[in-house]
Amino acid sequence: MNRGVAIWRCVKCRTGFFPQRLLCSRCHGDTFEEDRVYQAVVEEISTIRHMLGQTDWQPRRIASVRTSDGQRITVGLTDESEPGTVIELFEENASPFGAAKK
Amino acid sequence: MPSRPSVDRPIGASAVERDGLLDVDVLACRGGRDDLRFMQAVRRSQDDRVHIPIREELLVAVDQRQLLAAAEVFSRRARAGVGEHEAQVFALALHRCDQRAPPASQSYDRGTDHVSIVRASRGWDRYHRPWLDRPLSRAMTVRLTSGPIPLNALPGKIMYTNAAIIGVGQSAYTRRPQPGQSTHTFIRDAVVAALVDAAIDPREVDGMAVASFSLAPDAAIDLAWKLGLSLRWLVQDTNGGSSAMNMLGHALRAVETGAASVILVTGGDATGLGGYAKVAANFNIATQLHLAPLGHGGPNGVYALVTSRQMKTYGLQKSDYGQLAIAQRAWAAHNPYAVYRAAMTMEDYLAAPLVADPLSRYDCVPVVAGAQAIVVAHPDRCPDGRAPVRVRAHRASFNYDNQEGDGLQTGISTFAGELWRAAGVDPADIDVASIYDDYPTMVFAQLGERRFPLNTWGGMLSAGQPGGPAGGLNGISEAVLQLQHRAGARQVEAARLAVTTGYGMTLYRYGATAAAAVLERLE
Repeated sequence: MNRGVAIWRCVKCRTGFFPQRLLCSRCHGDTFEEDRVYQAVVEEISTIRHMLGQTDWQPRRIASVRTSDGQRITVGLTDESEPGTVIELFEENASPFGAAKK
Repeated sequence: MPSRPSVDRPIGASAVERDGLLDVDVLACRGGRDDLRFMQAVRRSQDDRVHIPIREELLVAVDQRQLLAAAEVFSRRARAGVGEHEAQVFALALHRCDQRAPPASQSYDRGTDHVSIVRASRGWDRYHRPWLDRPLSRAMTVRLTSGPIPLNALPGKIMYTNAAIIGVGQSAYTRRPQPGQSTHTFIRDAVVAALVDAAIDPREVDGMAVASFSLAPDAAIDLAWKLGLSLRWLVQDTNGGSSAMNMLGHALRAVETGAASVILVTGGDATGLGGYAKVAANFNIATQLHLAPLGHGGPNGVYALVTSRQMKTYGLQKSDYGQLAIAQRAWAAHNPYAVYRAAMTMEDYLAAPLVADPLSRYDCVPVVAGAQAIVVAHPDRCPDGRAPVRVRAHRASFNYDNQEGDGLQTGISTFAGELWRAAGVDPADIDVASIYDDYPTMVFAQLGERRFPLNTWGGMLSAGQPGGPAGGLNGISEAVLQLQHRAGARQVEAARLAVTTGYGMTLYRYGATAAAAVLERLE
């Protein structure tokens, strides 16, 4: 588990992106540097109760969050955070997760 | 009738507008019954100069330079209020261009007129063999009038006059494909049905477009081989829920420009539920890396979040989505191909188990195995006694906002006004609508507050979604059946205009491809 979530920041205009892009959609710069964001606010949540092709699926929570840098990303929630909650972000194998800030 | 200015003005090396007449050199014609009328008129002429009222559906082909010069004249006349119809007639004329007109295919924008210069299709001589024996260069005079033009009774620009949908077909739909059934066999069944419907011999097919999530490792060429089709135009589209609309656009342009004359547009899938789960988890790199490991539930999870956002933004209740699902189920009761036809009440809808909050069972499109096909060809190829369906306008959008919005609009928002203007109709003119409906949320996102008889085959929510690609073709097919007045118990009375949409390819947070078309019953 890594603290924070990697984003890719355009060297030219400093806009941060997640997931990674090839050209910046704002200035079309082609050089990015990796940066990290550590916090986000939960905007919408869902509980995935059924998964096609799975018979022993355990419900999981996901959320659309807005990071402190402005990106809207989808994370797995590892607690019962509700919309409006400030969460801390972390990564597992390049996938973003979050839980309420302690 | 508006007064016409009297002018004598050169508009090209050998084209002159004079007192309401346009003198041009005619090189050749191609096409169908309209050109036959033109040719009959030419044959009646005594001195290689003919005067043909627009009411006789004049269509004329001239060379590229003259077309461009004449386009200027027609545009000026249209802007001066002499008559919008004249510009339309000219656009029609351009679509009857000589096969010798260089270059092979070009497009020009001249003011409000979109002008295509095209190469005639292989096979045009079948219709105009006598014409081949005549001198190709001859002078003629076009009489301009501003009277009604039968082919263009509605104002606006017509994108496609030589291409129309002439037949539709589909396979059976099933939730669980049986041994021996595959994507290929479902597509075969749909193709056979469409060709029978269009009264087209397979040997006449010279173009095909296909889209499928489960055709691999085969590709379009493998399908052509296995269907025994020798083609000169072949496309494979990978844009999911808008693939059908994309392929329709490609096919129309191909027939219009002569790249092919009879095109099969088909799509289908038979992944089974487990197979679809694999498709959903490996939809693209972003999904593989950043969504599937969360257990995001495929598109159900993505659109659950979009639905929550939509409910919050517009103050919608769960029952608002239920109204749509229930209405479509009522239509499905009259569709023998629909996988769910039993009537549904609001109590049924609200009691359904949650799949991905707030989406419950009846909000999530049921994955089925099946396929659809349509046939695009010159309208004259439409079986006798049946109205071909023309596309008045077609627009598409890809990655319209870089996934930086809220997903409550679609790429349709970038071209909706342009689509209606190009079609020359208003939303209020539409008789029936096929709106891509993998989730009720996305129907609202595409439709806004407009009201039409909607998804009259039951929509994918009740009839089933045979993969995203064919999932768009079923909406087009239903619109065609409605406009041809062949929809049986589902028939919308005197349907004449339809709108169809496609939406798909969830890149990360919502769909990134969208397309729409206005279809018209061609009398």
